Amino acid sequence: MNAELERRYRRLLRLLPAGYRRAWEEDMVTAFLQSAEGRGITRPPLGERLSVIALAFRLRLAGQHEPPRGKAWHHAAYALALILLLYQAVIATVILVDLAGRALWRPMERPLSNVSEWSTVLYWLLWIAAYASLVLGWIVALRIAVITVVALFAGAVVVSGSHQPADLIALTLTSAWMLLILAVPNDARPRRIVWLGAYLGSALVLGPAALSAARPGSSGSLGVDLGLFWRLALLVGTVVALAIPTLRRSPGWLLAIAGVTVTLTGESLLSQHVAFHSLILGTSPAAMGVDLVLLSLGVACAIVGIVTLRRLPRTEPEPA
Amino acid sequence: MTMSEPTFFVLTALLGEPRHGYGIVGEVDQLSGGRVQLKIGSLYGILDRLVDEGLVELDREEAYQGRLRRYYRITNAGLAAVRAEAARQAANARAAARRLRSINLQLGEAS
Repeated sequence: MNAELERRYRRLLRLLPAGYRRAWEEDMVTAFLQSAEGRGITRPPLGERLSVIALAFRLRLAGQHEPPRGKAWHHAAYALALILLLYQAVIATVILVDLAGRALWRPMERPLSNVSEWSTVLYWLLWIAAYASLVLGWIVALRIAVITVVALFAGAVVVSGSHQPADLIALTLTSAWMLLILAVPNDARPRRIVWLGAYLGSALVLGPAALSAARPGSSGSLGVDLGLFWRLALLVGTVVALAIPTLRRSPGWLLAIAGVTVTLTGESLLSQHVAFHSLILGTSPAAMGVDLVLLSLGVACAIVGIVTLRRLPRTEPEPA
Repeated sequence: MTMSEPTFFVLTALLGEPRHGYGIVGEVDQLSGGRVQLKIGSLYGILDRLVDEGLVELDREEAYQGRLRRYYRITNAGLAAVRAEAARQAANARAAARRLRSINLQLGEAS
């Protein structure tokens, strides 16, 4: 009976990362069996099973006790979150500056006259808060901000009653943020000066353009090729990642950059006429030229990243 | 940074003497008057973190029914963390008690 119960507990503990099991399994099994003494139980109670499942989920999401290769995947998720949040925060700043400009100079348009528009302001402010939290290393605040954003977006889709495929796809993509953010390690500490500098630099280029577009009498266009701006920013990031040895040796950064560049440029080159690209990325010939360069660099990042990743051990090295 | 209630009770359970995993579960149950009933999975999640942060360490290993049982003890850093958390909770309780006393006085005067 005891041997059978022990076997069941050990099978349950297989959910935990191998590194964690090596450190704690024997002691946990002793504690489990001691807690079962005199209770006549033949299998792990539901409460104990759930506690192990929750522990496994938490450890795996946080990348704790993972082997080096698993840690590299977590780092890739964190780097991807950082790059995408920078993009969201800059877009949010442009939209909020535009709204503020219109409220100031075009009050007749009543830009902030209803609850829905204020919830839009809150939605974009939360993206900026999420980015700031990640850069400052406030991971709990980051998770709260992103979960609130997803809830706000889901609420807006439900209230509107829209069943359009575009809305449902956007909802799925927004919800995917939850997984990405949960995978960010609790001890993530990006280099503040670099990431705050990237945000402030982008905001200083695009903010005044958005403000001048909101002025009375202006054509309403930004006056900056937004698509070209993103491509050039990505190009700089990719070149920096390939040029700096510490970044070049980090598969997480390379895979994250490859993921962003290959997805955006590949899709953009394949579907030049999709409305999303003409709005967000632009379709000028200069942008297409940069796309080709970016795609090649993205593929290079992916190759170097995968080669570096494959050199990392799949299992945690045995303690000496 | 505030400490979660289960973490606080795990550290408090280790004050005075080293304990093994199941012993900590029982002590936490007793200390909290049955309010905090730790599951083994939750306990080892907390212990892993506390060992990592240097608040708890391995004291010894003993044989128990043919298997090894580990005993854990609180470190000086763990002791300081419990002291700080206990002081924070005591200050909160005093503030609430003061406010309750003043409300009781006001209610007494009104009636």
